[in-house]
Amino acid sequence: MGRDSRQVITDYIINHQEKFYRLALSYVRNPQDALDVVQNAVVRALEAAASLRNPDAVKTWFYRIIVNESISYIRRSQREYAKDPSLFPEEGYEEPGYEGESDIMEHIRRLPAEIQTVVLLRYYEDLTLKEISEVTQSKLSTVKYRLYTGIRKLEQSLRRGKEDHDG
Amino acid sequence: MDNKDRRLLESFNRLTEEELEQTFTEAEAIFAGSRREYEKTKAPEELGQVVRQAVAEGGGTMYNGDRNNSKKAAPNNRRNRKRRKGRSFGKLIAGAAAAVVVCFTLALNTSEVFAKAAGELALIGPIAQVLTFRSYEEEKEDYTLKAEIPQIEADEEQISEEAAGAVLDANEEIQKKIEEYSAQAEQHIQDYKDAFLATGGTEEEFAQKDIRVDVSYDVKSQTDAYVSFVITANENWSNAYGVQYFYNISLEDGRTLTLADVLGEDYIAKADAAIKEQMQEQMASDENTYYFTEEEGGFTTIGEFPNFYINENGNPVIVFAKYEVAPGSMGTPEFEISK
Repeated sequence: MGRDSRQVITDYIINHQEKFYRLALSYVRNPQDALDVVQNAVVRALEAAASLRNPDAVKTWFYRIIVNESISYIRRSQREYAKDPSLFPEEGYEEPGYEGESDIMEHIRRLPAEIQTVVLLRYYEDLTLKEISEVTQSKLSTVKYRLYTGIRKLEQSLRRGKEDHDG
Repeated sequence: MDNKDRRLLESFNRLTEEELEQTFTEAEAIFAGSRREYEKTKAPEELGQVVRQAVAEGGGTMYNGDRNNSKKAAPNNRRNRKRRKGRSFGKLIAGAAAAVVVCFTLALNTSEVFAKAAGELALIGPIAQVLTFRSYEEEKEDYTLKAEIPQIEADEEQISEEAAGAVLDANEEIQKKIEEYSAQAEQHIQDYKDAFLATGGTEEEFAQKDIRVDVSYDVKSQTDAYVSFVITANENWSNAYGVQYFYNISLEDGRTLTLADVLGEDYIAKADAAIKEQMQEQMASDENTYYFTEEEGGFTTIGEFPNFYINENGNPVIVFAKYEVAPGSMGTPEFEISK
């Protein structure tokens, strides 16, 4: 089983690496950081291969790892910024990975991490709500509430953004 | 929960399942444009390489389904922040090839020294009469630094000013490298500690990990004409930060020997051919041996300044960094090139 689950994990990761990179990038913004996140997640996944008891669950199992890795990566860098504010990217700083990105992604990033996660997984990664509840290890009703909250908050924040822009 | 959140919860509770589903479906319109851009996001070319290295490091199987992992057990230590080779690991190594050593009177370590010992190895070249090493241990807040660093001591009256200068420069460079390494290690350890504490660990538990930074050396060969040694630095909690520095010093004039000095002007072609041949032989005779193909970012050429030492046979041995030409389970591959 040990070897089989490693093989399953490896194949799954290799086949979907671009997806995971994109997801990581939507959290951390910077391509180099996104590569770091993917690398950490892959190593962690293979080290923890034994905890994947059911190979059919590899999708939600690995999404869980990459999401957790992304969030903890952001928290770590926020602590570094707190120590040394000069490290913080300047206002209006745009990453090449998202050139021309409509600023919706930027609004999503401002949501609390657990809400950001359900929005990304539902609308960008096409996971079902049930899958999302497995990834985030929360109840289905919690996922629904978070998604609902995310949509409403985004609508407000987009409206505000537009008003600011229009004058 | 503030008022806004309370209102959100109330409106959420009033919705039927169907209405909620509908809200979710309608919201797709908000994301449609941004979702198309998201899907067009191109990953950097390095992604494949990064994933492949991580798979190899994590002990995954990738190259071939029936290759088993008996050679490499999954590492026990938890890593919190691994650096990709291209960003720090590789850079350090690339800059490491040059120069050496030491002191006429220069004190190698200026910080507090808890233990210091010196040993002597007899050398008889005109420059270096003795190769000594210093060993010291420093207790830092979160880790212990233990270093053993070689140095050549020369009799100033017997050598030219130029040679003395070369020896001094080299000495300073070695010292600088150890300091750089130590500073980076300190940062890694701080990151590790932050993450450890943030995930529920305590200061006491962290202290029990007994984190150490070790710097040691290995004399590969010595003759009247040269000395060749390798300095190895690593952090005991992670095998991602190991670094080797290579030193081949002429004892006649203090100069650093290049591979051209040892193999002749056509050293690149000579070494490239020998390495390719050895890789093929090893893979043919041992199924646990694997080197990346060129398409996988594997070996093409040693380049102008490869890392090497000189072995007891007087032959240069080219050393590659972990992951440079093979999966991490292969360690740091070495190739002896016959003169």
